[in-house]
Amino acid sequence: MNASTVWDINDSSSLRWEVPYSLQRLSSVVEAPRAIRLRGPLPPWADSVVSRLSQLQAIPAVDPRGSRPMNADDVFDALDFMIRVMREDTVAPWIGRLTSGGVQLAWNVGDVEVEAVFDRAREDAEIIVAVGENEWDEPIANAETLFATVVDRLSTSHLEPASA
Amino acid sequence: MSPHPRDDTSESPVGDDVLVYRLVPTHWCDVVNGQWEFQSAAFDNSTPESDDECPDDMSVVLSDTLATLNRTPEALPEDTPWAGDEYGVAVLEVDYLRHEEEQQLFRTPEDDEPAHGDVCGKKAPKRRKRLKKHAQWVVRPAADPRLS
Repeated sequence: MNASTVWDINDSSSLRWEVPYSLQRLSSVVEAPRAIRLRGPLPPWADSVVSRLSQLQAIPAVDPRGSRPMNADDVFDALDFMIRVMREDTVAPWIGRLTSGGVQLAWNVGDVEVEAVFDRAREDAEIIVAVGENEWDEPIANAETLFATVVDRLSTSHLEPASA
Repeated sequence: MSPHPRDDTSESPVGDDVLVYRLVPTHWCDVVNGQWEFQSAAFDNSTPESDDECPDDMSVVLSDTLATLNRTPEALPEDTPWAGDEYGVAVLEVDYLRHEEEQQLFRTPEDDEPAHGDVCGKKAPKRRKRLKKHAQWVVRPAADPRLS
């Protein structure tokens, strides 16, 4: 598709997010505009996720001592993960950008903590689930079963009403 | 990068009783109950542009040097040229970093921060999560979390 690569995640278009990325290819940095196109119907959490990713993408450097631009492949892996494991009523995760260009997702609801890391530069791709003092981890490839054990408790219905 | 030896045998090693202060920007924080709370990503190593530089360093400020300079950790966001209201300060113990997390500590003074140090060592996701659990705020970012 000309100079842009578009990942179609679903079928009918209702949201489009396109940003240029610096992509690391072997030892040389190649400037290659890429785009991620999310197509609806989109879950309620999609707007905040896309908004946060765009916000992170705009940060020139996340660490003044050295960091890389967001890695489009890591962003795609994170979106793909969310679409696979989250339900319509799942709370949107906090999303962070790692200095390597990778992406971290985190949920903290009650005593449930979930962290998922997508970091190809460091070959890290794993999910960590903690409930109270107990903790489990799995490679992202096997994440569905582990996430499913807590997905009910990550529902928006479990959020406490915001205090006035 | 400020060069540092690959072992902890400098003339003035960092003692176990020293604290290290980590400047944490709001983009590595979530807002919980209306307050900034740092996430594991706040304890990520920097990723230098050059392959010649160490990929396993996390920048900190050393408490003993800071005290010698009659400075306080609370003032670090204001004292640091590239920081400001978007930055808070988290504290971690050298004793924990060295003996529980297999990290090395180095004094790496810089032109704009003579109390600068590096926490050197791999920080995979589970270790970053433990560092988050160990760390505490000295001062949260001054930026209004309601505007995040």
